[in-house]
Amino acid sequence: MNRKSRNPQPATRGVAPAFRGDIIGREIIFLETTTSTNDAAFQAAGLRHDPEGIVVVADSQTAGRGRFGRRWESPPGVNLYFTVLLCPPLQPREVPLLTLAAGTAAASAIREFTGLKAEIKWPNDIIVNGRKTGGILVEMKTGARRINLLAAGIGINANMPPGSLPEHIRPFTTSLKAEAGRAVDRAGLFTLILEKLEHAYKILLNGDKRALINEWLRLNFTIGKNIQVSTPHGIISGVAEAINDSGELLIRLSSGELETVRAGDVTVLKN
Amino acid sequence: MELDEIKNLIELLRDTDITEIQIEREGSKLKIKREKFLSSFDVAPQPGKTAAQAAEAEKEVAEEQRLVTLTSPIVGIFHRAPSPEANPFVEVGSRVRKGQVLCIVEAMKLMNEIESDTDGIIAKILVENGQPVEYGEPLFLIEPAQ
Repeated sequence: MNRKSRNPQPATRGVAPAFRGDIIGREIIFLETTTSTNDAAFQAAGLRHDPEGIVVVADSQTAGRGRFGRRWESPPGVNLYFTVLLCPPLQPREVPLLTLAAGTAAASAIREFTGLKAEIKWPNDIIVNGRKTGGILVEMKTGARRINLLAAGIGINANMPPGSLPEHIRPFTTSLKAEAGRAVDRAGLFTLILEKLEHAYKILLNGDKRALINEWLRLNFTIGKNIQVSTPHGIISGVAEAINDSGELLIRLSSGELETVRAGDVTVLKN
Repeated sequence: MELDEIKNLIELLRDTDITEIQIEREGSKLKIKREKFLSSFDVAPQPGKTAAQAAEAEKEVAEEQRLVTLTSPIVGIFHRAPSPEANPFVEVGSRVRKGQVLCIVEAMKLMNEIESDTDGIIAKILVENGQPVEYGEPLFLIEPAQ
């Protein structure tokens, strides 16, 4: 049954954060299960005058998804799946930086909370010991004349036994528990991620892009590495050289040219 | 640069001979280019063309100008389908409703679902799947429902 509540029920007590920000977490919606917290968040937004900062958290998802609808494993009782709704008063070119900011918030919270060296693979995959432990999918619905509503969905493999993952992703995926060797308090980690998200969001609203980019650079697992990016027009290979002020990835090709990438799947190659 | 400014520019250019203009300001760059046949100067009868053909061309221009242009609200990559394996959201000739998702423009894993702002029929898809698009770049021409 899909129980929805303002207060955590037994099934969602394990993911009840202690954080309530000025913006993020003003309202928190707890769901025992849902298709995806991004879907549930967009539905919740439709019913409210001011959806900014609403957080939707579920103990499990039946259709958790990543980029292009790829499945995100979302079993109950072990991980974190949540979405933050934002309506940023930003220029369109600045909005994609939010996806980088979400990655830095999650990675730095994991470092602080677990002691694990969480890193970010461009643009915002959360990596621990070279394997993916968290993913972020920001979805925006707009008519072309307005930027209205963003759903920043974050999934963290906290306590999931890696053996329960489908075989084809097992070599590339892990959980915090598997890496730290002990269970992670989901509510505590969630609290810290929300706190850092609010901090990063305020920095972005204040226009300090440089601070966000520097924080991303501090945590990143991409720059300086040999990488391959899979794009709709084939694979680009080279050395990840930098990100620009919009968060786009600059790759030095073997020809010496610098290529700017706006979107694609990055694979970090072993040097 | 605001969308209204861009629309005003396009309006200004409509009745001129100018086919291309480029403006750079505060780090943003805008280029507006149009195909010359959009100009009504070109539809006067020409040698080798019958009056009927010219009338047809004129009609096409009139139709072209009645179309609604849907532009990209962000810089990114234009995706015609929700995933590489899936069918495109729409094809030329698809009937669409206001609020229906027509494409995704992606930038750094920000998936921006672009909705139609009118009921109508897709007349032209102006960008190829997987191509980069700029802010304000036209993506679709839609023939609005009567």
